[in-house]
Amino acid sequence: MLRFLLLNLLVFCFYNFGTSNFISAEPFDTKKRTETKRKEKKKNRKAREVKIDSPVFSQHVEDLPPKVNSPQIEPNEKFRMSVDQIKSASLWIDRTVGNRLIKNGVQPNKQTDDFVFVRRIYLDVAGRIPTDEEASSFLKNNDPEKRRKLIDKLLISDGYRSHLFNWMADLLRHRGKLRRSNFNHYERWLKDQIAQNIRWDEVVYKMLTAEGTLASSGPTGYLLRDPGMPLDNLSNTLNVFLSANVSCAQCHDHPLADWTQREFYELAAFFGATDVSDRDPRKVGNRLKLPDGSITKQDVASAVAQNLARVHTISSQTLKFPDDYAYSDVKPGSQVDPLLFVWDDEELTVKVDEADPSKLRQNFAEWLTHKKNPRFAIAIANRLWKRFFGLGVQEPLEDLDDLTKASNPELLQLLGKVMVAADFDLREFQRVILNSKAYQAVSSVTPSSGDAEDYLFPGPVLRRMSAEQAWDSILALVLGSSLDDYKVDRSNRVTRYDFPYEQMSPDEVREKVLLMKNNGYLKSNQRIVEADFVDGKRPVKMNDYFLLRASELSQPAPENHFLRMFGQSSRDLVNDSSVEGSIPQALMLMNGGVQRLLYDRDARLSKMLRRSGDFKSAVQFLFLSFFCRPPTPDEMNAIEQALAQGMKKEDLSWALFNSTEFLFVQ
Amino acid sequence: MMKPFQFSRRQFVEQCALGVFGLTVLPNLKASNSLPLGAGFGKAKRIIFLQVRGGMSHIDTFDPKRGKTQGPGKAIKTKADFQVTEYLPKTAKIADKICLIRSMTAKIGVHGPAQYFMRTAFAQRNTVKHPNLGAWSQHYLGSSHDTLPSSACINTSPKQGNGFFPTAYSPIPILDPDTGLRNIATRGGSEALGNKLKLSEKLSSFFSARYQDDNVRSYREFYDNTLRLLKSKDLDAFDISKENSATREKFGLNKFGQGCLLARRLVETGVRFVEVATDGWDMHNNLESEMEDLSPPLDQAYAALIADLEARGLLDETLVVLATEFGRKPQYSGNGRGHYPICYSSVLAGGGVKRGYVYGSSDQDGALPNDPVTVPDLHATIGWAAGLPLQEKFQASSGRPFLVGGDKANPVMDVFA
Repeated sequence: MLRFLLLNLLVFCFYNFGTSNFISAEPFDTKKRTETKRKEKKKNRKAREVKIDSPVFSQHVEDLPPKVNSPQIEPNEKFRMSVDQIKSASLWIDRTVGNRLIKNGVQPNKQTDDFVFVRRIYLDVAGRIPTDEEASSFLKNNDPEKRRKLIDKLLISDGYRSHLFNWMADLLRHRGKLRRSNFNHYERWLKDQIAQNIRWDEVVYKMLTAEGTLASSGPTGYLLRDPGMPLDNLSNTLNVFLSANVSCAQCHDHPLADWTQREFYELAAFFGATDVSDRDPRKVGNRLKLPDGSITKQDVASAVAQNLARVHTISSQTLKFPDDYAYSDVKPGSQVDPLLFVWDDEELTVKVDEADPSKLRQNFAEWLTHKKNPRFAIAIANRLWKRFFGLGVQEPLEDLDDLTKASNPELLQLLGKVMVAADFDLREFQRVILNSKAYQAVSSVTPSSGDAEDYLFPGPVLRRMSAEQAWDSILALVLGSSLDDYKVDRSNRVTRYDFPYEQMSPDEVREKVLLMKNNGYLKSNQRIVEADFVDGKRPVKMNDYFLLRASELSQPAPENHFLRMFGQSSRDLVNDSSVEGSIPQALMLMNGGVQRLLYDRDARLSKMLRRSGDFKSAVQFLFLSFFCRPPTPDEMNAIEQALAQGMKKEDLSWALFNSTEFLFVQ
Repeated sequence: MMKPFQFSRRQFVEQCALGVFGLTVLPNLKASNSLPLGAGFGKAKRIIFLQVRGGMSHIDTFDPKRGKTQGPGKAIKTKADFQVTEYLPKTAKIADKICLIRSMTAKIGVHGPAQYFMRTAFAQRNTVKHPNLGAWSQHYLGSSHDTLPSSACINTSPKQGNGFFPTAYSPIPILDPDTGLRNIATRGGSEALGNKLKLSEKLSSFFSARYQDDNVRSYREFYDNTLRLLKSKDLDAFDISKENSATREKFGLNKFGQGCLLARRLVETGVRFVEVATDGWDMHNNLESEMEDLSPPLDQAYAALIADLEARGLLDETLVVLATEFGRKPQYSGNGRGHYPICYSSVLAGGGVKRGYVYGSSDQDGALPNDPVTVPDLHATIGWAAGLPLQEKFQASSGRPFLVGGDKANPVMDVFA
C-alpha cells in the first residue's frame, strides 16, 4: 500500500504542472521587514512630472456604440489536470486531514450514501437541488466512477458558473447600481472570467490595474465600488485577497494584530497615483442642458453618468500621511513612500519602479497575486474550503495573520500549494476538494462557537442552504433542468454610453447626447427588455416572479424578494449573507408567493405530480424531488395518517417544502 | 399593554439569592460602583432605537460650529436653549423635549464594525456575536408580549441581533413599513394550515432526531414563534394602513418616516424594543446637496415621532434614541467630510431623561469632546432607563461572562431627571 502511494507521489511530482515544489517543507514566515532593502531605497520625495500616455478610453469613434450586448462567450470546458492528478491531490488532502484526526483520536465520518451525495453535490456545484430525473439517473447508475464523472459534468455546467458568480459577488460586494453608477458591464466581465475559467490571480490583477470608465472597461468596477474612498477600498482588498485583518490600521496601529498605520498607508500609496471617482452627472447635466429643452439635464446625465465613473492614472503619487498621524516615525502630512511587504528574503521581490508612479498599481497587483505570496493562495483556498465544508481551515476568514492558529496548519499549507500547483484555477482546485473522501463524508452537526476553532473536519458541517441555493432549488422544482436556459445580460445598458467624454468639448458632448437621444439610447428601462435576453430567450414570469436564477436577477435582489428574506447579502459588506432563520422567512414558506409557484399548473412539479399514477408513486416522486430519496416506512405512515385526518393530497408538496430537511444541506 | 411578568420575580430572586439559581443569574461580581439608584430606574418600558447609518455629521446637525469648521447650514434657535443647524427646523420645534449628548466618543471609523459597535457596544469579532439591547432586555425582563415578538427592526435585516441569546430574541424584521408583515394569510384558510402543518412537523421531527444541531433547533424555534404570532390578536400592530392618512403624512411618506410611525404602533401594542434604520449619511462628497436631500425626511420623522408620543402620553415611558456610528471630520476634505468617531452627537428623548438638556460639549471646532460618553456608556444609560440590572453578568455558552455595555460601561446619570 505504501509503495503504491509512493509511486503515485513520484508520478505526481513528475507530471508537475506547476513550478512550485509540491512537497516542500519550507516554513512560511509571518511578514517581516528586510532592513537592508529599506535603507537601500532612495528617498525621492520630488513628485516628478511623468507624462502619462495611457489610453483612458476604448474608442474615439463618431458612431454610437451598439445598443446590444457583445456576443456571449463560449465557456471553457477544458480541465487542466488529468484524472490521476486529481486523484493524487485529493489523496493528499485526505491524508493530511486524516493525520490530524488520528492524532486527536477523532474518527472520520463514514462516507455519504448516494442519496445524500447526489443532493449535496448538485447544491454545492450547480447551486440547486437535482430534479427527480437527474437524481434518479445518478442513483440507478452502476458505474464505480459515477461520482467523479458527475462532479466533472457539473463543474462545466451553467449551474456551476451561476453558483460561483453568487459566491464571488458576495466576496466582492457586487452591486448592480451604486448611486448613479451602473455596474452591469463589470458584472458581464466577471461572468466572462468565470465562463472562460480565467485564473484567479489574473482576474485579481486585472481588477486592480484596470483603467477607464465603467462604460469602457468592465474590471474598473472593482475599484469603483469605493469611489473617493481609497483607504476603505484597500482595506477590503487586503481582507478579501489576503485575509489580512487591517481595517483598524487605517486610523492607528492595530490594537490586536501586527499591522501599523504606517504600513497601511505605505500600501495605500500604491493607489496614490490613481484617481477613482464617480462625479455627479447631474452637475454636468446642469451645465450642458439647453434652454430650449431640446437637451434636458436628465438627457445629459443619462448619457454621461457611466463615463464619469472612472479609474484614471495620474502623474504622481499623492498620498500623504494624515495630519493627525500620532506616531513619531514619520512627519504628519508628509508624502508616503510606497512600500510592499516581503515575507521571504530572496523569493518574493517585486521591483517597485519609483520613477514611474503610473506603474505603482501594477507593482502592487504583482505583489498581491504572486504565487510566492504566502497569503494570496492560502486566502482563496481557505475561502473555497469553507464553501464546501461550512467552516474554513482557519477561522475567521478575514484573519490569516498567524497561520499557526489554523485547526490543521498542515492542511492549510497544503491547500495553498494545491492552489498554486493548479495555477490558481479555481475550478480545478474545487475539483480536487470535491473528489476527496473528506468532502464526501457524512456531515457533522454544527460545532458550538467555542469548538469551531478546533474542528478537524471528520466531515463537512451540516448547514442551511444559502438564499441563492434555496431560490434556485425552487426554480428547479418549477422549471426543471431548463432553468439554466434563461439568462439576462444588462451590460448593454452601460456599454452603449461609452464615449471619450474627457476629451470632448461641451458642444461635442451635446452633439453626442442629441445623437443618442434621437436614436433611442436615453430611454431608461428598469424592467428587463429584449436587448437583455441572452440567446434571445425571454425569461418566464409566473405569479409576479421572474423565474431567473439569483445570478441573473438584480444584484442584490430587491429587499422584499425571497432571496433577501432568506439572507442574501445586501452587498454592503464582504460576505454579509446569512443563514439565520426569521419569522418572515417562516411566513414566506408557509404562506408566501413561492407557494403559488409550486402549485401553479404550469410548474413542472405540479405537472409531474398530476401524471404520477397512484398515491404511492406520487409520494415517491415528491420525496425524490424534494429530498432525493425514497420515504421511510415511518414517513409513509405519517402521511397516510395525515390524509386520513383531512389533509388534502395537494398539500403534500407544502408539507415537504416546509419541513426542515428541505433547506438543509446534509 | 406590556406585561413585565418576570421583572419583579427577578428582583425577588436577587434579594434572596445566596447561591446560583441556574447559569443565568450569577451573584453580584462587579467590583466597581454598585448600580446607581434613582426614581428613573426602569422608567423606559419601551425603547425606539433610531440608527442613522453612514455617519451623521454632528457639526451639520446637532452641534453647529462657527469658524473654519462651520458647515453650509447655519445655526438656528430652538425651543430649548441649544442650537441646531437649519437642516433640522422641525426638530428645533420639539427641542424642549429632547436631551442632546454632544460628547460621544469612539475609536472605530470603519462602517461595518462601527455600526456593529453602535448597536451592541462591543467591538465586532468573528468568534462571538453580541446582542442588541432588545435581546438583553428580553433576557433580564422576559418577553414583553405573549404573542408578539419583544424586538423588531425596521428597514434593516436582523443581523443576528440576538447575539449569544436564543434565536427567539432576534428582532423581527420589517423591511418595508408600508407592506409590514407579509404572508400572513394562509391559502385554504387557517384550518388547512393546521393539517398540513402537523405532517410537516412530524417529518421535521424525524430530521431533528437525526441531527441534534443548534442551527436546526433554532430554525424550528422560528417556525414555532411564527405560528404563535399568526394566531395573535395583536397582529394588526404591524399594519400601518390602520393609521389615518393625516398621521402618516405627518411622519413623512418615506421609509424612515413610516418606519418611525410603525415603531410607535409596535411599542404601543407591546413590542419592547424597535430599531429603525436609515441610510445614506456617508457624506464624503457633496455634503451640502446630500444634507439637503437627506435631512428633511429625518427631521420630519424624528420631530413627528417625539410629538406623537408626547400627544399620546407615551413619551415619559418610551425612550427614543437617535444614534449614528460616528460623526464627520471637522475639517473638510474636498466638498465633504470624512469619518470621525472621536467626537459626535447622539440624542435621547423620553424614558425619564431631562427635557431640553444638553449633556457634554465639543470644543470650538467640534473635534474634541468635553465630558466624553462612550458607546458602552450610552448603552448602560439606556439599560438603566430600561431597568436592566447592569451588574448582573450573563455567562455565554463559551463560558465568557458579559454585561450590558461591557465591563467599562457607566450610565450617564446626569441625563436623567
